[in-house]
Amino acid sequence: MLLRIHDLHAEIDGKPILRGIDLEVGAGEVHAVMGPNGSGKSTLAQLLAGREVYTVTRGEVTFDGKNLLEMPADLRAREGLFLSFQYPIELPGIANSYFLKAAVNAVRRHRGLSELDAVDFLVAARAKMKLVGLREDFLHRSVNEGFSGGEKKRNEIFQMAMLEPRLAILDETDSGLDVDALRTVAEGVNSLRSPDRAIVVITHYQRLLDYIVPDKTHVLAGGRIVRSGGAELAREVEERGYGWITGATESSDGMPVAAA
Amino acid sequence: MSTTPNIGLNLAQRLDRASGQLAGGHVDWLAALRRGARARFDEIGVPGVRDEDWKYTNIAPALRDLPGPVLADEVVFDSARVGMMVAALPGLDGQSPAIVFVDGHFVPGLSRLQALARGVSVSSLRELLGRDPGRLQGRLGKFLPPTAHGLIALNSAFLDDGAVVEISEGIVCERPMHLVFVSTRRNEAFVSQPRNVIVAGGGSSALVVEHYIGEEGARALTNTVSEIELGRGAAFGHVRLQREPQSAFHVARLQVEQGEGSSFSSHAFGLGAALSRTEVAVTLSGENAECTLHGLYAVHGKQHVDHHTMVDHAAPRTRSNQLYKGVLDDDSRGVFTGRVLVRPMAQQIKAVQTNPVLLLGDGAMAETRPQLEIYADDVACNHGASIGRISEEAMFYLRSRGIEPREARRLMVYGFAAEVVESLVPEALRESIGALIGTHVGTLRAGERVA
Ligand SMILES: Nc1ncnc2c1ncn2[C@@H]1O[C@H](COP(=O)(O)OP(=O)(O)OP(=O)(O)O)[C@@H](O)[C@H]1O
Ligand SMILES: [Mg+2]
Repeated sequence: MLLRIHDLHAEIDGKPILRGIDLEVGAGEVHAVMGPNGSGKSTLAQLLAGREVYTVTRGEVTFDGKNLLEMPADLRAREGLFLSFQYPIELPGIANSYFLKAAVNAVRRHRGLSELDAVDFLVAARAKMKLVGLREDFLHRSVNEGFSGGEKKRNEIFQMAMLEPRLAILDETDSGLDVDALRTVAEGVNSLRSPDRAIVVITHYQRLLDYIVPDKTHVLAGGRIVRSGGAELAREVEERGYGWITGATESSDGMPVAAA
Repeated sequence: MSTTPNIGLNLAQRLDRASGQLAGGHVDWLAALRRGARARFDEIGVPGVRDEDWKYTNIAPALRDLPGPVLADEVVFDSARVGMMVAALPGLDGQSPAIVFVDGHFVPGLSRLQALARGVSVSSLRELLGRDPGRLQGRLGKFLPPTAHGLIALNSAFLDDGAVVEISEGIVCERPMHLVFVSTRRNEAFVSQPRNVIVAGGGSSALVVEHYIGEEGARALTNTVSEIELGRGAAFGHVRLQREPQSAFHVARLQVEQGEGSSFSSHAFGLGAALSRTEVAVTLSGENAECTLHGLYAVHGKQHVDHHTMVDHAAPRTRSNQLYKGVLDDDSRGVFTGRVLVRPMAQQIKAVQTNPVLLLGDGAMAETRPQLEIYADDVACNHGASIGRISEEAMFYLRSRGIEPREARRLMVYGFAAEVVESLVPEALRESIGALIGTHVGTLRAGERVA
């Protein structure tokens, strides 16, 4: 298993948010996570990426067999975990190119690869920007500053494509994208799919899952995974909402809650 | 003005030992100028903390027990070493003119004055006063307000050397001119008081960079005054890179007089010295004159940095824009005072002033004092200040991309400071100063602490 989450509980300022998450994601798999607003999806994603504002009160998480929870955020990234932010942060005064080159080389050093020089970096960046439909001048602008909502999301996928993570968690990367952008982003994600990588897609909509078909779908409510199923669960949620699931303990196809 | 007479008296007496060797000693008007300044200094002394303008900056300890200047025949330094320090200065590309002073004295061998554009002259004040003193008569001190503080009077009372830059009408200088002041003497504390005079003729365009550097351990008090006069329609840029060693004290005044339609841009970088006070005073005397005053201070440890601006809107349709940014680590102190005066006859004025400060250290403290005195009614005036810390969210974003905390913090601080650097022209200078700032903010110790 690439990612194994067992009985994860977490809180912020003494307020419990995650209340016993069990989830396993194998290499090569795509998982979708859905759930009502405020159910804890972003909390889970940020916690996995190493955000320190959340306190884990119980449970374990391993990433490729290593204890993820004791790694600092930057080490998790260098180990191959990537989070596409629901709300990407603006970094005024820091050029996108400088930022990304620093990130790429930090990851490459960790993997024992040689650092990219300015030219190699530019060549790689150009190719990936084309893939996600970002113009080259975005390289020279400050990170996300003044980017439109859709441009920020494309920039996230651009970063992902450059960093080549083993596990990518996409937190509502589809929200706020127009139809064309959605397809472009999906293509970017699909280009990353491989037998040794895994992707967790957090979304409210079936639309993105038409392009990135998940192997498994999970519904998070009240800080727990209340139902797991296949790709069809996402369609059911789209049609029927969450009311029928909330409180349920078994998924529609009878699978146990913690999908294995 | 409150006084600290004993310190002032002792200091002046110690400086007196140089009196017999001062430049242009035979020139009457100069002797009169020095006598007047000395009388003024004896009267008002060194500014003290009871003086409103010096409330947050106590200069007295820096002046106590200070020996006098290094006399011309006492200057001893390692020329090769200083040459290397000069060659490493940002923006000095091997083509740009440079005039170099060591421990207060002009060093022709390290200067590069043959690279000057036509219609431009750069000379040592001391040499010029020996060769052609008439050229400076009526110019030296012309625009310094008579009420200026005691250290300015002290500079005038003992003025001896510095750079004189003259740009003829209509001349456009492509390359920045560098004025370099190096403090090297380590075995004994000393005072160095460079006096610079810059005259930019009508319609000319030029850029001067003043560098203040030194050997770590050099116990120098630099007390420098630069006067700039901008003719009609002149465009002039001034950059001050104050990177004195932590063992030094730095007091500087930049006095600018702007003619009609002229534009002036200043960048004051306050990075070094145990204690520094940097003043920029601009008088917008001609209609449609405008100035942009930028500043960046970034200090750590127990450093104290004080930037003080004074903009006098003395004519209609004049504009000023000030942006001073501060980065304060450890237990450092940063003070910014921005005074804007709009005189009664000066209508249609625009004045903007902002002072954002980034606090890194738990013991760091920032003071911001906007002082607006507005006596006209058609005035658009704005000021803003803020004190912030590095955002946890932004740090997380950087770290989530694999960037280590120390580098992430360096990038955040650089990003904060970048706005000041970005307004520099030409590009080559912007890039080399940008690189310098990038390295400098990496040395701030907050980088060592883990969030
Ligand atoms: N930093 C925080 N401080 C206080 N409460 C927080 C914080 N982060 C999350 N929460 C709370 O935790 C709960 C879960 O939030 P989270 O952002 O994980 O929800 P979500 O499932 O991603 O919702 P959405 O679909 O709206 O993005 C919410 O009630 C939220 O207010
Ligand atoms: Mg969310």
